[in-house]
Amino acid sequence: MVRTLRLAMLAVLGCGALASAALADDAKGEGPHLRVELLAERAAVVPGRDLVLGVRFTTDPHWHVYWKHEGDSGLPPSVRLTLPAGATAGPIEWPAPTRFIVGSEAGFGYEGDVVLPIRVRVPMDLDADSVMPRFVVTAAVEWLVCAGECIPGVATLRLDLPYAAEEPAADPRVAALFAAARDGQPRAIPEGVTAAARAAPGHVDLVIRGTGPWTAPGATFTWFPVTPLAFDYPADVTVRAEGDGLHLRLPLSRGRAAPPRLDGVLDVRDGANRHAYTIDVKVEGEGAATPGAAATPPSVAVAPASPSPVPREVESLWLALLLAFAGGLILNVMPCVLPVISLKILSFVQQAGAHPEHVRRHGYAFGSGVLVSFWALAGLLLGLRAAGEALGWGFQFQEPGFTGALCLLMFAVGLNLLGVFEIGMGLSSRAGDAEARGHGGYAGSFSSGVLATVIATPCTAPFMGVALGYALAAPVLHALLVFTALGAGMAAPYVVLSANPGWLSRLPGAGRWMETFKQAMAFPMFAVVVGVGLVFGKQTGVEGLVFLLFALLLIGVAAWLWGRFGGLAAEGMKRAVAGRAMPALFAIGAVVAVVVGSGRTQEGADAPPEGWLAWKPGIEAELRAQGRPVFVDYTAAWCITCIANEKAVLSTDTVRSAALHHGVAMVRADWTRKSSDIRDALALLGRASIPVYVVYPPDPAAPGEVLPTAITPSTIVDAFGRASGKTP
Amino acid sequence: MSKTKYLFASLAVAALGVATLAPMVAAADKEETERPAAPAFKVKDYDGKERTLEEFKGKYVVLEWVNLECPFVKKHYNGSANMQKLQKTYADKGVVWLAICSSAAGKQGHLTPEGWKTAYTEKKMAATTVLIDGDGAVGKAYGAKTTPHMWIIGPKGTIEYTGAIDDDRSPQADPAKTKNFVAGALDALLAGKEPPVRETPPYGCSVKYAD
Repeated sequence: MVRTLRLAMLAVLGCGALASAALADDAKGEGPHLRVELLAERAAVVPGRDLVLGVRFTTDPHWHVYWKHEGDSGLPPSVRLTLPAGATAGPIEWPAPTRFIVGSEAGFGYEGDVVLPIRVRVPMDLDADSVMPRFVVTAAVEWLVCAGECIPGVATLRLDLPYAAEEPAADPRVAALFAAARDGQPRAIPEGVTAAARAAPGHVDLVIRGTGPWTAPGATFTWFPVTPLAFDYPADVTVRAEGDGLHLRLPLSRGRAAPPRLDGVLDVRDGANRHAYTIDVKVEGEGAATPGAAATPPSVAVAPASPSPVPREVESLWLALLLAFAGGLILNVMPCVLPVISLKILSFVQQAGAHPEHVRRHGYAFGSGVLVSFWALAGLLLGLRAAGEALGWGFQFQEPGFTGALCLLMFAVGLNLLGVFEIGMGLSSRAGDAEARGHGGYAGSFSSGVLATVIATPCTAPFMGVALGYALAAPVLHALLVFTALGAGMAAPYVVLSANPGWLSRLPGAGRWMETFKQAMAFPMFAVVVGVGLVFGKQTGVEGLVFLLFALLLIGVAAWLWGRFGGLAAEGMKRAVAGRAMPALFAIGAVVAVVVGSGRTQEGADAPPEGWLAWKPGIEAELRAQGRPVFVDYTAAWCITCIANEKAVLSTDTVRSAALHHGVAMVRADWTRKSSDIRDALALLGRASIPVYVVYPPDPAAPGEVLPTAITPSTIVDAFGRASGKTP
Repeated sequence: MSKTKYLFASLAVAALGVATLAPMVAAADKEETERPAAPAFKVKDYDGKERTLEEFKGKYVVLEWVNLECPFVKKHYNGSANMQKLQKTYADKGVVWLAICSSAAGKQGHLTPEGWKTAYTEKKMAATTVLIDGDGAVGKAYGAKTTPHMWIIGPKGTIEYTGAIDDDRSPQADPAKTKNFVAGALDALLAGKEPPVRETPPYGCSVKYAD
């Protein structure tokens, strides 16, 4: 039955083939001012051998169709091929275009006769079940033909070719057309000749070293960029010869920065001879990839190669310094510090016998004490950081046990600040003792500055937390500067007030407002709980997070019991049971809940964002086998640097478009949760901590390049260029 | 508790808030670079009235370069009525929509003020007005390359978006099925957000400036 059907179909198709052979014009179409034809270089198809098709446009004089980049306006033609199963088509091989200028605009394309070749891969083993006795190609062609005005057109063209064992001789008419199309293809720059590009104000300087048609006297040049928007299309290329080669000035559009790469076709005319070269080189120099400069309006006279704006890092450093200074100032109004200030200044006044100069000196000494202790603290932290990095700092955040415990602790500190329960009273009174003991001389003032810092520490956790976070993430110098600002902020009132002791009377005294302030400080702590809780939730899922929330509830009960019944006022038995034993039980319960919740650790990683592939072992090799360069981003939700880099660099348009341009596969290895695969992959790279960025060229034999941790869009774009091999 | 204390305490609390929020703010993407200023213009509309960019200060303004005979413009006006729908939708949201024709007299797409009045009614346009830029001064100040070439200007006179109207350049495309950059950017801006894209290469017919 099936066989009969197939035979019947063959018969029908055979008739169809005859019918189509009768309609010879099937391969031709036309529109106003334009004729279009689908050609095959050979009249028969040999399985296993490439077939070159061509779409031929013939326009009326002065009418033109467009190149792959149309210039200021217009539209490149599009060809959608339908091929027999197994056959695949390559891209259109665009011959070098010509430029037509209309007023202040220019278009790139073809006038008269042009053939756009498309190479088709024909498989050796054609589908054995195929009932198609012939190789039938249909091409849906769209075009825009313009001469001042523009007329769009469409045609569906069809070619019906027989199969053959040997390639037949080419029809001379067709062969001449394809030969012309091949002649018109831009070529690579010859061996031994180098091209380099450099951004300059208003233009890109393309330097060609070596001789060739371009060094012929009177040679003229036209630049056909592929990158849209950057270049001034109607402006002419100017040329000058210098010692280091031929300098071509490729003019940029008004107000435009040079693109990161020079990608296009350079057309060289030497009399009647025409030579076209493919250029794809990196543009060196300032402002080559100034992001944001793209939308500069033409009327604003901005030097296109103006240096890039102040780097983001420096901006955020200034902000951090300002905040640290403010934070330092605020330290003084903390409940445990403020009472000390007045006492302190008054003691300066007493010690110095109210001599203004001496009072001032005591102020400086005290301020220096504060500063020095902050430096010591910074040094300690940086030392810890260095040690931590050696041990793989940051990894503890992979442990839900750690993040969960951190949440509990922060929550408890918040409740403490709210006054639900109290511990460790009397630090301030100890400060008073130190004061009472009295210190003579400036050395005494210095050491009481140190002491004040130490005493202030318990109340300063939130601010120190911010500074600490910064110190752990920022470069060493930045961290030191931040701590200096923090110390300067704290010392400032002493220095200022000791210079003007009269102002003391205007200072607010201790009172209820300080309690209010302390309570308000609980909320930043709760915010930290939310932030760290997010990481915990990512690691353990909804159920794990519910355990954490339950643990917070238990801690809340424990804190309340402690505060309600654990005070000195409570009676012995009640205090021991309700104020001590029960809170301890609840606290243990909370810890158990966190431990249980941590046990729900999830494996694997979240799906990566759009445009990214999820990392898995061996994915680099797979993608490289497809001929693609690969970029791997080792990251995690708890890695602040990673996230900052993703936001500020990896997700910018500059990087995204460069990835598209170079066909780079973007892969994200998410280490938010534990993964021995990722750890091993990092170990192979000789790294133990993240972020790590690696770029692999498509050649599987070539080594990958590990990029520095401090990345900018241009380092990434450059690395993409090196990996894709499009650099000279 | 004296007034000073209150002041002092609230200042302290405010500073604390800032200090806590700062890392988050610092972490947030600070892509807020200064937007370039849109060139000012003075040009007559189809009622013969002189219009300036200045008069629309405080509002979002869309500039649409138009040439009703260009196939790319036709794609958005005829059949689909996409452009008219956009004009209407955003007019209802308080956006000023200025269609602007820089075709010189004798060139494709040029219409007299009377011609524009007829076309406006026939096409059921909903633009705020049509500006007639016969000498191409506005078009050249902006660097308008194509029809349709679109601009979105913010309430402070800054360029918020410039480029193509949508992501399908084919004259055969159905504008109802494409990703409209102008609508996307306006929706984001009106909601106080960053537009998904600030600039795209424009597409279409060349602007028919005077020779």
